[in-house]
Amino acid sequence: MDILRYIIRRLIFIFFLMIGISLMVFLIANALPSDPVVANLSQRNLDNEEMVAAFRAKWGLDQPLYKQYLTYLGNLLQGDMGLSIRTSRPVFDDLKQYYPATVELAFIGIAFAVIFGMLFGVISAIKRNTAIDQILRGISVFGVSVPAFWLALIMLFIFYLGLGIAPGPGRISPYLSAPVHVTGFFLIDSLLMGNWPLFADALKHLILPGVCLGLFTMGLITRTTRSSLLEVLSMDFTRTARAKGLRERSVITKHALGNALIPVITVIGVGFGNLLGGMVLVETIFAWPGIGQYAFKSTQYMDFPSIVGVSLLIALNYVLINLIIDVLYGVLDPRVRYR
Amino acid sequence: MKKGISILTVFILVVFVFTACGQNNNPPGNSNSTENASGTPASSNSGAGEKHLIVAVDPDYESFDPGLAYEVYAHMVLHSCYNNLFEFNEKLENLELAAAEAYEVSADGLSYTFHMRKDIIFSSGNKLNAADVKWSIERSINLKGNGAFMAEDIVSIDTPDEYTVIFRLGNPDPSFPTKLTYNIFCIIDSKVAIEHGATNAANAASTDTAKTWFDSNSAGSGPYCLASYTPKVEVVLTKNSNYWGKEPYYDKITIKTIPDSSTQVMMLQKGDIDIAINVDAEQAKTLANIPEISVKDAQSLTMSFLLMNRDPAVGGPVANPKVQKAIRLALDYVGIQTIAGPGMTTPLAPFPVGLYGSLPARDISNYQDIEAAKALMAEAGYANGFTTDFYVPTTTVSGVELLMMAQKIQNDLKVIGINTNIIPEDVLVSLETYRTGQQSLGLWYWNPDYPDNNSQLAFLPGQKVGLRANWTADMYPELAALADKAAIETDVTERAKIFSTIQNMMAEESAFTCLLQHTSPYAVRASLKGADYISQYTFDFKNISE
Repeated sequence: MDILRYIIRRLIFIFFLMIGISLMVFLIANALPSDPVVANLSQRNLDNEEMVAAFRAKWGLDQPLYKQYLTYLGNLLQGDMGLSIRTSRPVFDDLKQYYPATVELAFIGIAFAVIFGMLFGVISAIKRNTAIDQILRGISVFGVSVPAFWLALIMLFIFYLGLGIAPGPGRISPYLSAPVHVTGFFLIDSLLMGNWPLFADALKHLILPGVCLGLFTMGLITRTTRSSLLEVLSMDFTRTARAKGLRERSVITKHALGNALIPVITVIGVGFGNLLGGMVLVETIFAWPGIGQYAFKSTQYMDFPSIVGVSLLIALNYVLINLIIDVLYGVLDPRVRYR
Repeated sequence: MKKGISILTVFILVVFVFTACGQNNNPPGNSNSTENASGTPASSNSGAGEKHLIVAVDPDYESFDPGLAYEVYAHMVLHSCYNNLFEFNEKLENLELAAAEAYEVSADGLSYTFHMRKDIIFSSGNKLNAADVKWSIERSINLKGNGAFMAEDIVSIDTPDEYTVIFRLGNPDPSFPTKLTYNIFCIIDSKVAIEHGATNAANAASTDTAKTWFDSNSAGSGPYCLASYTPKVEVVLTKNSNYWGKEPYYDKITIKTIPDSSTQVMMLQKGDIDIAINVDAEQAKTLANIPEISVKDAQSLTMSFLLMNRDPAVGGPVANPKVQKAIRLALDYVGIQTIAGPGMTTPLAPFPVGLYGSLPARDISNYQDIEAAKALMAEAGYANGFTTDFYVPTTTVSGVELLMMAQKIQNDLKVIGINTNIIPEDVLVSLETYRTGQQSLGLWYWNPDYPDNNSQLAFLPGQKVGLRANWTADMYPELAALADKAAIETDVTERAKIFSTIQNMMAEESAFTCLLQHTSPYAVRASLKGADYISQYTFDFKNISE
């Protein structure tokens, strides 16, 4: 019951946090020294006072800032995120359109990062200061330090253009048609259509960008798992387990790893949050229609409703992931109590 | 725990092997293929033997509502789906009748009468008639979109019979036929559009609800129909079975959103696409060595130019006409073209080469004259030079980084004693001071609103762009008077003469120096025919075949 009360309290807090974030983003976006009118009207229309006035009136830009925000907040509380100035579509519909692509990719990226990051971290800790440890640490440093957009280009060049073993950019091959939109997740929608070839094609297209995006988080997880595991392995309870005559495998998997996971879970959470925020350059190179590109274009056009909408979505990702992580702490470590 | 990790690792490896082995290496030229990676039919709507053209573009469009779409690549889609009264065929000098078979202009230039073709059927099966023309244009005017200014001279549209349309203008406008090629003058099937919430009422801007429908459907009579639009993914066009003209070669055209030019190039090399629209100069050099790929230059109408303010309070020494002439003479245009890449030209004045009435490009081989420039500086009283701010928006124009060009100009001007402080600014920030005439020296770019030199008259003294340099009509009354004359001259020969005079005058005395008329390379599969760039539409898909 404690945990349930804790979750409810956090969810209420999230509600107010979202309002605070919307206000902050709104104020910052408006403080920028550029005007949405200039960004969206043609130069010819900028000289037409009637057109400029009509544009300002249409988008509420002729109202005082506090009124603009209160109107936005009022609509937001009723579930209306407003219309995008750039696309003239409801921001909610735009997010619904682009977010599934980002989520699908983020899941692949985080799955790759978690599997290989933890595997490498554990091996690295066990084989401390050996050649294997050096190699795996080298890979993790590479993952953390190499720019994802550069890696994206290089991977496309090698695996797509050179070796021809990976598919090209986009969510599916250019000569295929997208599945009927149900959830926006191509893997799920193609399965719902019973179109296995399309499912396989969509899955293939996730691998390269997923690896590119996941490599950074993988590096972090490897390093965190290694250091955390090494610390735990030097603690008294591990020594006791060994003294009891347990096999090294049991000491690591049953005693050490669970205790070493808390900082790793935190890194995974932050990494997943980053991936869900979209990666503009990687999305651009892989022609991935995700939230990153949408956010970037929105800022170019000073599209306030979209900027606030994207910011809220990204913030919501982080706070929900943090909540899940906090709950997981208790699962992993029974000493953690929720108040 | 370890067991779980092992299972997941095995799963990932299985997936990778499964997907990698299933990869189909689509060779160049086989995008007609309707099979997917697994060798089964690509999709339910791709029939066997379907001819499919795949184009990659970094798009600018957000809507395909003819009344609202104004972006460059939206023309490419809408021109395939709709007919206008006029259209450009291959070159911008070749303006041809499209949905009309004849037209007359009244002696005063205020009335245009069009006699419509009687054999045009919309994709819905409805007949296209004069009422559709009137309804479509009235809707565009009342939607008040970005392109609506092109119709601002229209006073009334009358349809005396089913196939005659009469436009009455408030002022003579020799560029009116050119404007009629634009999206806002696309002829829409009014019956279908009304069914989906469209209206031509005066309050259409607030009551018309058809935009969402138009974004993924079309109601036109062009060679193709808009089958679907998935933002940031693709636009799909399918052949219009009711098209009245010559049947286009391709059954289906997919315009893929590929924002990165390197990715476009890789996909073209791999054979996954047929046309890569956004290719940079370096990539073009690499592609030129591949026999299966043909690299071409798209001569755009976009120009970059130097603005030199005429107001001494803003421009300081730059405002002196002699200094401005010295700047013009000091620039190394050959070097600027080299930096920008092959295929660039330097227009004599802000009138793009290729438009009706434009003079040939400036002969830049011997134009730079440092001694003459220094002499002019001395005459102006600045023999020892001066320092000025130089505003540069941080953007690229047709792949050319303006900051890089600014550094070249900075070096050139240093030779005659002008030291410039380059002030790089975000384009939206810089636009404000540029538009309000507060920049002493600025590097800017311009794309004509419509492909007619009337659009370029904005650069003359007292006109819109001229005033951004505070170049008022009283500073050069003869030139200002010519701008007024050219704007309404309907006699073709006389109009060409006026434009010629204007350009020769501006080549010597102007608040602007044209630096480049930009060219963008693009690449296509070598076996494609008719994939020629047309500035107005980018490509006319009905002309493309194998």
